[in-house]
Amino acid sequence: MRKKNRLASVAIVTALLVTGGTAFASSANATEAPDAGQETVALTFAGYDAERAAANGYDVRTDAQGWQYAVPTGTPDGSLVGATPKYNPATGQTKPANSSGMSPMNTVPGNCGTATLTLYSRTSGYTGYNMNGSFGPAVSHTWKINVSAATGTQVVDRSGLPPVPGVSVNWGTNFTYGVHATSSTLVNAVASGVVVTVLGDCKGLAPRDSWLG
Amino acid sequence: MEFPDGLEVAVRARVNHERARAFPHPVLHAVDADDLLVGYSIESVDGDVIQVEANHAILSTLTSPQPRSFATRSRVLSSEQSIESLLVAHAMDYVMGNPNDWAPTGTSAGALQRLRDTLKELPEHTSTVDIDGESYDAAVVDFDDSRAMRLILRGAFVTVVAPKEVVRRGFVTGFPER
Repeated sequence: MRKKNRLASVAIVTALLVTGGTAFASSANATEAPDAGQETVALTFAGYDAERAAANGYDVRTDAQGWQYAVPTGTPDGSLVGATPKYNPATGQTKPANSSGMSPMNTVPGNCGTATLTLYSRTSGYTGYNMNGSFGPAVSHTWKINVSAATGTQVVDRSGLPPVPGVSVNWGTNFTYGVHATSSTLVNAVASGVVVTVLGDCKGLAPRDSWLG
Repeated sequence: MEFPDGLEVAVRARVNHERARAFPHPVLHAVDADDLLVGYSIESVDGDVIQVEANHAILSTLTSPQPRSFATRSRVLSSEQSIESLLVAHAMDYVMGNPNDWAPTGTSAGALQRLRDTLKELPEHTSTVDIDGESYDAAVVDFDDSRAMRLILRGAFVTVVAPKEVVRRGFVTGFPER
């Protein structure tokens, strides 16, 4: 009998992701609770890219405390209308654009959304990301899955594009792997990657999963 | 037609264009202007490129709440994988990435297994597809307004999952100018 090796705790992802007035209901973030072996982890913001933001109609600005944020091109100096969350390049923290920036209570770990990985057979798995749209839709991604077992290792690279680049906030793919696993082989996998958004980069924090059987 | 800024930038960049061109197997591109080639996704295993995916967005759906997309995939022939299982995996990605009633309510192992099993059980039949003006036999599976298609073409496993009218119009293997 095949069974899932229960290793990781899980987080329930949000039900609806909205960006730029366009809502996407994702199959990956609906109501069913993930199984205990599947892991979903945070996707953290890694910084603004001023050139990329400009190409997409945004200016990246820095406030007096050194926090960066993006506003639509043409926004008056000092205005936070339409501003994205602020990012501190020194600490990697983010916070809402409209907070004062003085209170540590307002600082939270950078968060673009979540990344997930599920193994569902001896040769098949699913991985992907669900962005919350705070730093714009996805443009492309690099995404690798490292699979290891006593019988072999493999690196599967599924880098490329979300369904509609510059519009989509979610991507996922079913992948196959081959590590010569048998019914008694424990297979471990970890995914990692960077999502390029219209404003900057988001990094996946290595969701893991295992399969036995 | 005006694209969203992000899409326009992406289309101009046409991610992985040169790597896809270097792939020594035919890569299928849709022929209708409404089916916008947005770039290519590359799969490699241990550093070797084994698959190129031509990603398309359907322009006429961009203003809807859930824009539609599809892809063609060309994969190096391998004895370790069957083209039938590759088509099912491709169909799963399509179902999970587009608005429809087939998408699972989560990504647990059980939900993914159920979707895979459901798609595997759909009846398959033979049809023809136009590629570069020639007619080829292909195994196809229809569901809702979509078609999943597989064939072996010039040394590659080729799978397409797309709206039926996209498949009906056929494909070309030539790469568009950048």
